[in-house]
Amino acid sequence: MIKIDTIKIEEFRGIRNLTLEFNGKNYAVCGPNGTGKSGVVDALEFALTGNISRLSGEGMGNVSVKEHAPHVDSKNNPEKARVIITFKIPTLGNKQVTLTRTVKNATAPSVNPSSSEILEILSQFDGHPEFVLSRREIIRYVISKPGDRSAEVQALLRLDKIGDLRSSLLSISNTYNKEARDLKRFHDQASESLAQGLEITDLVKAKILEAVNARRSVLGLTSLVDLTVTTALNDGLETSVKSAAVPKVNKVSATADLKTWREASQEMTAESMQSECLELKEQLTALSSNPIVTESVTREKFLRSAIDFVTEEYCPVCDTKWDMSTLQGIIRSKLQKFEEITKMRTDLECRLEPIITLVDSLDNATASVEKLAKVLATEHVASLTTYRTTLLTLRKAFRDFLPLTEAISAIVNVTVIPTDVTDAIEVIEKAVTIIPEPTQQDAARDFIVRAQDRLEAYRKAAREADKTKQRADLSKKVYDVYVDVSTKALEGVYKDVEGEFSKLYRSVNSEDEHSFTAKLVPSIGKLGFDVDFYGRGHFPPGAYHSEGHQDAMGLCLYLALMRKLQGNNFRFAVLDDVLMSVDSNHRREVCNLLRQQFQDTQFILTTHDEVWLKQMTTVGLITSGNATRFSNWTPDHGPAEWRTRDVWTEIDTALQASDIQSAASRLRYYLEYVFREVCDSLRAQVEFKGDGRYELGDTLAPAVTRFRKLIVDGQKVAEAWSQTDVVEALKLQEKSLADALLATNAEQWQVNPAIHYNEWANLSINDFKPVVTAFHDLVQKFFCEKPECTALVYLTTTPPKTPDAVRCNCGSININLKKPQKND
Amino acid sequence: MAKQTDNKIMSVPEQIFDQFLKELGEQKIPEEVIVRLRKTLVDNGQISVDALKTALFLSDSTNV
Repeated sequence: MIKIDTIKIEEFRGIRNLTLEFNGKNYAVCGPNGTGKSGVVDALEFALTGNISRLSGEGMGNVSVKEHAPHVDSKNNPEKARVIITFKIPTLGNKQVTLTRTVKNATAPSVNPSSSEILEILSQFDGHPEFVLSRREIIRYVISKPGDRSAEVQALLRLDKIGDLRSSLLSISNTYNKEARDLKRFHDQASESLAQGLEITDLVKAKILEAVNARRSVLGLTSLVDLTVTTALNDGLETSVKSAAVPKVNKVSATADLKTWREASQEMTAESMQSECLELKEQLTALSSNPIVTESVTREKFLRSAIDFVTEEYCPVCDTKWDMSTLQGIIRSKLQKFEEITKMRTDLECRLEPIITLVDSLDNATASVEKLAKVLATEHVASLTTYRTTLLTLRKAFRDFLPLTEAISAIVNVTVIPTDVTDAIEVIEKAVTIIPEPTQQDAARDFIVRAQDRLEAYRKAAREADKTKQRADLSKKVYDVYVDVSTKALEGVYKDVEGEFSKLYRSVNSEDEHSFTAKLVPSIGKLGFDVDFYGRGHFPPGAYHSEGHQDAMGLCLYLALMRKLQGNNFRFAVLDDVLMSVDSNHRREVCNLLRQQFQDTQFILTTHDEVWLKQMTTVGLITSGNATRFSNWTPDHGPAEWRTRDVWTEIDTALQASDIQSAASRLRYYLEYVFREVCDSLRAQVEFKGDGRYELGDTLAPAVTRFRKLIVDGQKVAEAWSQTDVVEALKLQEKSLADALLATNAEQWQVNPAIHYNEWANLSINDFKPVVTAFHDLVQKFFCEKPECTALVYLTTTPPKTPDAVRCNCGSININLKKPQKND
Repeated sequence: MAKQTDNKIMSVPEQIFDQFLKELGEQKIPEEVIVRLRKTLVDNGQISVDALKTALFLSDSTNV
């Protein structure tokens, strides 16, 4: 991954020309809504991916990156709209790289220097803009439906391929399974037909040889001793026996065909079949009477068909190139909504299967008697042909299932055999009866010829059925293995994410939710997400938790997912105003979380909240100066920006401009903010106020008193450890703090809270400068002086409230508060 | 945690595909089928129905 040093944005979105220097560190952009913060986020995303999610997402209609990414005044000059970033790659020895991307050539950025290693790292951003997190994404992760969340989380973890492979393997397994079922049915029919032709009931070798050899004996042919896959039952028949005058219809086979038809028709009209059809009719009718269900069935079937067509890179209708994986993902996510309908439909289709088999048998039998009719009862051929057409129509209605009206009509009519058909059968039966009995030799010859024909058909059907069954078995086994492996692996992934998420969220809410746990429950196409609500049970995040808590959950889930996805390579993320609903205390904890647990990750943060920006700096998430403020925005000039300078520099600047009012105001607001933070970080005791409006008079004294007490406590501890040099240093520090407080004349300014600091604005520059200097000196006593740290000191404790130490982020300040144990 | 190299992210799918192919070997799936599946899935990154059918059966035709 990369660490960005600078970004230069030109004629892009609402920005005309802006350069920001991140220096490879965390960076904050602060400003009210509509001042151009999102332009920076868009520029980062565009530079790294060539895309802007906000312009290409769902519901964006005619808005596009190509047309709308350039500044409105450069919309006809997309080559002018460009973003240049310079970055280093830690894993390549901090190699420096410059990337330039213009809207005109969005897919072809200039990368300098360019190497396969660098391009490989940059390619990890392509198509996966998850490094940008906005509140929209948070909502998607936390309070979306399980099916939608599953898709979002899978996309983030790049798990979509896992689902795609599962779908492809299932599709193959289903295809061969269906084909195997069909071919087995043909095989069964061929088997039945062979047995009938041989006039035996059990299709076993001995019985076949017995039946055939009896006829071969009549014809003077040698007996067959074995029946192998190449044995010809008619071996020697053509050459040894002269063909007799063959009648047009063989009485024996005709009788057998008619018998087969009678058996099939009896099965079709049996009482059990009629009651099954009646029951199916009721269920199909119930299904069709609910228009919503009918619509769902229709859509489900359409989507199921659609996914079978998405196997090529181009649409089969219009030849437009599509992203196969994305399209399959969309279809599957839609199909998940029809899970119940799918089950209902599958159950009914299973029950229709035996009826379809019977329709096929009756059709085969009718085809045989149709041939007889062409010789023996030509006037009845039409009725049999029509009946076969009817049977094919019924079969299609059952197979298609939709429209349901046709399936219902088919189930009502399938057991009815038209009287003109039964009349035709009776006529043919009579005609067969009066055919003269064949000679014994003719009968034997016909028997063998027919048996050989049917044996060949049987062998072919058996070969095809066997081959397809092998494919069905193999594809099912491969699918089962994949489901097993991927399910276990995904459960592991979600378990890890669940644990990491809970840990991160607990660290943000350690005071009131220290026992917090969460459950990520994956199922096919869904990802359930329940969170603990103060030990009362697990519920969806939106059920009881506040919006602020939900925002924090979304951020923690995102961080847990990214850590799972990228591990140590999670080095860069853009957090776009993600904590707007989180209260001040929890935002501070979020800052601590990002700073402490993601030390190697460069965060670019945007916020409209000045207080949060200050908190970022105070806890050391943002080092001093690594931020910018946007004050307002105009189409002509873009955002008005000034670097976040040190507040003392801002006050000096105001004083140099003789703007005492501005300087006084800045000093007042900053002191009110910073001593409130000090009280919090050192756990100072402040007189409670119901309205929560703490002014400097409420916090300054408790803050200083608390710090002095902690320093004194530190002295005692150092004495107990016999650390004389530490004792002396702490004595000096305590005195220095007391002197600094004295120099501020703080008590003087707090005599009358109603007018106090307002008086500053009435002072002369020379009178006010010492006030500024004194407070500056006092405030600095609470911060680390090291340039790489500059963070506020804080108290660490052992639960419940035993002080451990006063520290800063870098450890330069470390006042030990733990006395040695007696046995130390 | 996903396995890492210096700068290449070993994705969860890659790990699962690898495990899947190993498990097919354990389940006595013919070696030549596994070799073809590995080439299709891992080397070529293909997961379409047609590509997998070819990997499994060399030809998607069931005609005999």
